Amino acid sequence: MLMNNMFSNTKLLEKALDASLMRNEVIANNISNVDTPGYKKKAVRFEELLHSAMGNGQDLNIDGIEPEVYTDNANLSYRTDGNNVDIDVQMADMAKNTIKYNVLIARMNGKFNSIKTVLKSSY
Amino acid sequence: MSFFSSMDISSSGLTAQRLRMDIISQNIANADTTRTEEGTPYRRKAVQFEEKQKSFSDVLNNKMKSMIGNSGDDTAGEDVGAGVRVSKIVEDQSAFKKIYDPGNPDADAEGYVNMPNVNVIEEMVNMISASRTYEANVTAMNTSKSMALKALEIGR
Amino acid sequence: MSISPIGKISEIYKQSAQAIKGTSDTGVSSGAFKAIFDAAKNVIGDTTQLQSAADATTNDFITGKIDNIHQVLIANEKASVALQFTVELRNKAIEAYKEIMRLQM
Repeated sequence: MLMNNMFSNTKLLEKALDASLMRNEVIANNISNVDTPGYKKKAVRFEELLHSAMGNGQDLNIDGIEPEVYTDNANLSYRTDGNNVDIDVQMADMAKNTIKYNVLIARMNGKFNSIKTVLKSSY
Repeated sequence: MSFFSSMDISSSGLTAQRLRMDIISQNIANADTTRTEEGTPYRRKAVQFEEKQKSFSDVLNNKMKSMIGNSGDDTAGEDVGAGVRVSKIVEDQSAFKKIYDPGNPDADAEGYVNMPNVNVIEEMVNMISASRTYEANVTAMNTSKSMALKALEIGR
Repeated sequence: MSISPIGKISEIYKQSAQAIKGTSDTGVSSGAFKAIFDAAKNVIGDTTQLQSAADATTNDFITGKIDNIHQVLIANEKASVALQFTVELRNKAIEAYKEIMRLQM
């Protein structure tokens, strides 16, 4: 209703925060399994789902989009034990993910603050 | 999707690497042990890692929650997994090194002594790798913690 | 996008101003009052819903069912903003009522 209109913009931010958190967990799992033979690295798919949903030209139905974990079987590694985790790439991904998370939190705060500003202003 | 399970995953990595370090230290310390309790020279030990899966009760709870309609952890994709664990400690079955040392009390009839199959250089390289992975897991744990603290700033 | 919360709020304020005008000219203008009353009921219902959702999320966090920190904090923030909005709405309604009482004396 009225409240949902006020908060409809925050749904996309919430989903993006959830995806970022999931990505952090997946990267931590990859890093801890860097020496496990036969382990294939995992990743989170979310931004591509958003792109394909927005590309259709319809309104973005954010409820239907969930971030998902998938296994990346790319065998670009030179390791002989079947493990394709590149620890430097994982560390870089983790740093990028943290920055993204911080930006999303700042934006969420900005949205709430602007609503509160409207409420506090009287005429 | 959770902060605390990210930290659990990182801590499982720390535990596994620490155990690996212990085994490496034991190998290096026993690099010259020609007679153990069984009478044979010391055999090099190694750890075997495997990915830890979520326990059955966790997966069942998540599925049930998502079916009832509460916010379960049910996403379309796979499960994240729960870190790493050491599945077993194996003994390296490669052959012992033979050293010609007739004066040694453990020498056999031809004067050869069986030395442990520990290659100290290889153990040092493994040690460096274990230490680097340990540091990476520590960084991952710190990152999870900083994300959690950042989340507390919502609404402040 | 971010205009919509401002838009909805000022709409309600406009309606209450209209109600005041309507009363002083032609007596009780029931259409405008009913609109305000219904809007207030909906707002209170939404606020209650958001508050209980925030409580449920917090309870889940305490018992350990979820440990998603930003989910808990966002639910809490939404409930707090909704409550603030309801309180402001109540204040403005009471002000409008006092205006009306003053006018009629």
